[in-house]
Amino acid sequence: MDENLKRTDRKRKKRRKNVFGRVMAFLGITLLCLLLTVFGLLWVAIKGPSPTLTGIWCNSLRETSAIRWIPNLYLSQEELAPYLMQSTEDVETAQVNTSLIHIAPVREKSEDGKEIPVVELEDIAYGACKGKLLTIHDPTRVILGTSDNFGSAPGLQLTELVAKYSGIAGTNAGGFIDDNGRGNGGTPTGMVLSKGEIIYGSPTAKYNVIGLTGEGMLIVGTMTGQQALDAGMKWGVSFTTHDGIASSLIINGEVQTQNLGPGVNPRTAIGQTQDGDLLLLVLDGRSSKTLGATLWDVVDIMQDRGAYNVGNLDGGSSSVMVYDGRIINDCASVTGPRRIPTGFIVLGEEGEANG
Amino acid sequence: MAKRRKKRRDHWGPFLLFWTLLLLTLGLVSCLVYYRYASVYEDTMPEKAMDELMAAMSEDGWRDALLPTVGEVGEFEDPQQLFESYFNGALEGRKLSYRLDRTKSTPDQSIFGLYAGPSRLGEVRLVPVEGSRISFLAKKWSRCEWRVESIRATPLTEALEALTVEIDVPDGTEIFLNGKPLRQELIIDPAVPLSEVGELEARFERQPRMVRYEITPLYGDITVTDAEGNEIAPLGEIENGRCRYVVEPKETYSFEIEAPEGVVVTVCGAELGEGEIVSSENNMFRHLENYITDSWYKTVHYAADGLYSVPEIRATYNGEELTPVVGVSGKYFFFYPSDPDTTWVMRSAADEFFKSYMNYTSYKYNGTAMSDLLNRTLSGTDLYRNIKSSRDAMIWASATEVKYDELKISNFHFVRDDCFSCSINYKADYTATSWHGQQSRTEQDGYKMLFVQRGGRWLAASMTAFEN
Repeated sequence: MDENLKRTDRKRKKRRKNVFGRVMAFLGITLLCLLLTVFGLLWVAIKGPSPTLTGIWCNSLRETSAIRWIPNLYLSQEELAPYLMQSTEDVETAQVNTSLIHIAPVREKSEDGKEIPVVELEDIAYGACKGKLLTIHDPTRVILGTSDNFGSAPGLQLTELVAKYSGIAGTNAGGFIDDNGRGNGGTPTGMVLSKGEIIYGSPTAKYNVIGLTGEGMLIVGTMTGQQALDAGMKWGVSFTTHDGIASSLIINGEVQTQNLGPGVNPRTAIGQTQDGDLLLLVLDGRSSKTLGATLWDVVDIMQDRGAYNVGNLDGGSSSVMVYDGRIINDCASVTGPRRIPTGFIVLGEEGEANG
Repeated sequence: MAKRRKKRRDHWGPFLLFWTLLLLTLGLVSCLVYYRYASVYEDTMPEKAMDELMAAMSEDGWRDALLPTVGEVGEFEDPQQLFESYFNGALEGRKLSYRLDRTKSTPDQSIFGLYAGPSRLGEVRLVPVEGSRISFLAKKWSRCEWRVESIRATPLTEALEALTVEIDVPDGTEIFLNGKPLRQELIIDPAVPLSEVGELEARFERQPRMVRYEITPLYGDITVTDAEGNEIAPLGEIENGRCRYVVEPKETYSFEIEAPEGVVVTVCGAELGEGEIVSSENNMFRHLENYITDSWYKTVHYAADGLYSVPEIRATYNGEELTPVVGVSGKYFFFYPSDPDTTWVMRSAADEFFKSYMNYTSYKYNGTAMSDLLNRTLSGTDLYRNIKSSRDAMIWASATEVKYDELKISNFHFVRDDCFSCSINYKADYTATSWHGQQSRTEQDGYKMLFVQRGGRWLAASMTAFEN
């Protein structure tokens, strides 16, 4: 009897092992085939018959910190080079001519008597791009929010950052150290300028700067920290892509074509019209709804809204916009909104204007 | 039963193999479909049509294609010449390239800008090829082939910086821009004040003015010339897209006036005053003080130069308009007005003297004529001495004929009871004949004359040419 029971038990165990092995084999083979398919599709995309698609894929992947190594699996550095943009981070740019920006007094009512909110939110659908645009008619309401203790503490999610400053809206701003997508968002890259002081970075080093003066003038361009201060910058960050592409997209109405590539990704940008309105744009991507936007798309959308100076901010899975206490765009980060060190915050009426 | 159970076949192996093959097939098909898509994607890129076009066209070909589409510019410039110069300049050391104009492109048309460096030379419009023989899949993917619909030059108004030219010229001055005369319709300000007008001219009723032409837009090199073809240089650098030319009046005017004290002299409506008085003399004739000791009048000399307006000179005495006597060099002389009641007395004396003067100068040397003239001249005066010495000058000619035309004796004025002045104007045609030939000359003469009464007779005391 005992012997029988033992035999049955062994058989049961063996059968259980057998089922587990089969499930694992099924999953393993499925995963392997999927990986092979993805590898094959990427091979077609990168080494296939379309150089245009190669350019799009290579630039898109190279802009994404976690998987920027993928193109190098297929192409040598020499083969890759023609598809990539040349670094522009050290290229001198024109200076923003603030005399061409005339910040109009905030109008509370339009000509037909309708109330004009100081901050207007708009859905954006441009070609295959989708996103949100905030128009802030009083640019002095926008400040740069920062997380605490750069380098030692993790960054804050944008909802937390906006709440910290009692803001009503905000977007992510500058870049941060994120090696292989594993950064904690607590250490910015480049420079951070807050309340007219450089709180991260050096006054002598050159950066691709995006910032605001105390009067709410947007300044973009390549300059040293000290030059940014001399230009009257009160709030500012710097941003450069992994391949060294500078952040200025439009300066004094001139499109900075050298900084515009074919890569498709989620985007965040800040712009200013000649009337002084600030534009905060977030375009989604890496989803079934939209793959993302090129920087040309960003320029087109911004120009369509009358932007005269535009700077590109950190994009990809960092692109996020908060309005009324919640995230309103489809954030591309699979693990939820990322922690970030800086964000442009729109203060409410009771908020301290421009710090 | 047990045997049958043993024989039951295990399908796991074949299923796994089938599943693997299915997945691999699906993966392979996906890759093949994507490969096909990538091929179609590349083949149906409008850039492909552009690449083919760029390969087919030379620089000259592009120039020839673009030139006929250049739009119009103003009357002073040749649009084709402007474009050609723009095209050639842009291509210096550069190659042609193209760039998709995303703002103008739509799913139904792709617009490409044609560039040489940063300069946009034109645009190429591509449209989908109708009835294109692309694959079923490509149609499904909404892809299409493209063909060139049009090639257009960048409008010069966009390609080149517009310049506005302002030209200030004296009214009525002919001026040329790029060899073409400026029309009156281009005058935007008919009364531009002259920058440097003297104090006197500033008082003129009608200020000297320039007219201002404005020509815009201009895109090329500018040449401004005057009527003689002299090139006018621009006034400074181009600023805010504006360039100024100023043609200063070439000719300036001056005047000299001599008028007795109390005569109100105006030039272009401005009364002359201390500022214009050059001198004020106590006599009107040289050495008058030798014959008259009192009651002479002061003669005021006015002069000014550097005027931009033609001086219109008028004079009045006690409200009466005076007629000027104009010397050969243009000097104006005014005299007190004649008193109609006593003019005949003076006219008679002056007539008799001048008749004698004509008699003396019209015949060959004749001692009678000369003594008659000297009899009507106050002895001891410069005039008397001059007449006497003129005999030597006249002796060379065996005969002299003089015809006096346009003789006019006027401006009679009693300086005092025994002294009057008048003026004599005439045109004299002299023909002198001597043993070695004949000489003719014509003189337009004018003299101020002073007569003094001595022993009941009026004698000429002074005869001063207006030019002196």
